[in-house]
Amino acid sequence: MILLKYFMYGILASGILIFIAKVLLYGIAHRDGDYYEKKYGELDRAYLSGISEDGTSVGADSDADKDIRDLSDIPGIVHEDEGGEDGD
Amino acid sequence: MTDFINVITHPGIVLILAGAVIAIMPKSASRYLLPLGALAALAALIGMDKSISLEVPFAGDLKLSLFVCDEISWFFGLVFAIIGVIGSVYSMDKGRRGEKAASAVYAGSALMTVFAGNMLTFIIFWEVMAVASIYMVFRGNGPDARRSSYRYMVMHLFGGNMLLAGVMLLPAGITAAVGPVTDTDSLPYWLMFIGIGVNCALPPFHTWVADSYPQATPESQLFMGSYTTKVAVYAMIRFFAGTEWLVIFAAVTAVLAACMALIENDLRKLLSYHIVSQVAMMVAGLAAGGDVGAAGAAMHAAFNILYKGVLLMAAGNIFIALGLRYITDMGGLVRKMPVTAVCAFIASFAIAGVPYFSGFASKALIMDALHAGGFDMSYILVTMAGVGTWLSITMKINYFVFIKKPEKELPSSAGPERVSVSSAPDRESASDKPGCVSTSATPVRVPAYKIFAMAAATVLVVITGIRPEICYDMLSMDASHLFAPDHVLEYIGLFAGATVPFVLLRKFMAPHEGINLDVDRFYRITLYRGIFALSDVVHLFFAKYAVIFDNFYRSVGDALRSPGRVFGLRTSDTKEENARSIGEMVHVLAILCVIALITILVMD
Repeated sequence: MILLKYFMYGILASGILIFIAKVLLYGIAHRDGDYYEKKYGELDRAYLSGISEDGTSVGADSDADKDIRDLSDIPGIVHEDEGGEDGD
Repeated sequence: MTDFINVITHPGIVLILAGAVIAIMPKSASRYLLPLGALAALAALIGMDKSISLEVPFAGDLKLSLFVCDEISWFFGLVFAIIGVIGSVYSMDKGRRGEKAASAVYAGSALMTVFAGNMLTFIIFWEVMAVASIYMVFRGNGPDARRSSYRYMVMHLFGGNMLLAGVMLLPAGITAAVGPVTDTDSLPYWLMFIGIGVNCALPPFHTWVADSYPQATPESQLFMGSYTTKVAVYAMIRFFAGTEWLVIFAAVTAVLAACMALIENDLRKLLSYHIVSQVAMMVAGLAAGGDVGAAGAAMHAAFNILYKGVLLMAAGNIFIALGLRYITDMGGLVRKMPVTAVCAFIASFAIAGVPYFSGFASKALIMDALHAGGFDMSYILVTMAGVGTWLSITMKINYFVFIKKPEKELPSSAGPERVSVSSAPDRESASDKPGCVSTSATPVRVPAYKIFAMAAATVLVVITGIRPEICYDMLSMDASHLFAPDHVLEYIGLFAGATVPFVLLRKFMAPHEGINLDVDRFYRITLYRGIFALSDVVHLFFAKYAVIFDNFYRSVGDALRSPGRVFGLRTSDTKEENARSIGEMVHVLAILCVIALITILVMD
């Protein structure tokens, strides 16, 4: 009797869990493998380079932001990719 | 003199010293030094006089309390030492000396933490564990591991600082003894709870487990799966046992983590979610209170280290042999890897809590504690989490990984696993290649020592399952009712019933390619954008005042150029850049010091 009772509990518990996992959680949480790349990849690359792939500046649209991105004429700012000993 | 001998024969110190030796020894020697160090630590622990209290001066009046032992800490220490030996045998690969040294320091720090007698000692080794594990994630497979190690570092620095702040605010401060925090409405209580909760993988801080563990190498994942969360469970037992509100929270976590495992396709990530689920069960037990709850949590942690270790080693062997980590790429591996399949099969029964397997004995204590405390809903939820474990590990892994015919062609030249040292591959040349996560990896044979380590752990799982009274006696618990016919029949009926929906819906139960987002999605995006926004503000500030700051950097840097060279702060050859970099550093330090001073003055 105990065996049967707990057998039924097992079916019930298993059914509930499969529903939560494979229907609810799967529906909410599952994405394509390149989800992060699609959603943030371009933004990431653009931020890292300072310029987006279509050539426009990225981030805030203010003039001040453009100042941030273009620092070449400010004394003392050395660009890594220039690799020079003297960035001025 | 006696104290000195006791200190250097402390099992934790033995392992930390072994780590230091490994770091400076030739690579060829390091592969044997780690197992030797772990064996020496186990011998030292067994030979340690449990009644002694070991203190050494630290700074001023402060003392490090290195060894205070009772039943719980001894039990944790013993299991940590045993899995240290198994893990070090599993890690006997050529090369990767840094990772081996970090593993030894990490395991040694875990032992130091569980035997710590005061908060100063506890926090120091808690943080050493964090640093060592960050390095272990960092040395994982490829750029994903490095990114993951950064997130891991952020999470653990946050947790460590919360814990430190909480301890500092305790009435006795860092000199306080390791013991219960009784003032539940106080700020220190909550800060310490968050700090330990991070390591305990309690939501919403649980995501680091599934994020970072699969990125580490299989050897590191074995160590990490055995220590960080289990030391946190030990801390929970010490500080927060009997916290009743935590019971239902932990029980819900156990169910949800099992559900996440049920939809996960990455085998090692699936096992990581089960670490979260199993740790939540332990927290539910200890939070229910009483000696039974604490003993249940301790025993479940110990048994979990063993059977989860077997599963992690099995997943690691598959990864090493075939370069596979996704279940959709696997299938029919019982024919290619029979020893791994048998060990995983036994461990999967143990983790689900099937009678006469070790998880059954430890979970029974947790269920007893919940029942005795009147936590009926949590009792049901923890039972459901056990069913979830049965579905997602016992059924899903055994069927889709080992039994079911593969849908994709397996790497063709993969031979069967062999117990032969001569066939041991040089992992540096095969599975250690960055990004070796797909079927494109060169198939290699699993080294004999890895098979041996996995089999040894499986033997321990079987022994503790059939003779759980060995561990019950260590914790002064009564095991007489454990195998009562009704109790055994309940679990057999439960798991038999749970199998029915899985079998009927087995096509639907197959995992899918892709990723499963967790709650870290929210704070990762917020942090991601927040950091860039902050970066823009700082950048703008410096851009506007660049000339002023530049002059400041030069002047300060010129004055401090010599110390800069001494400490090798900058690799650039130019004096100007040297000066500027030192100036930048001094400037940042000055700002931090001013902020710290203002904060101190305000608090006074």
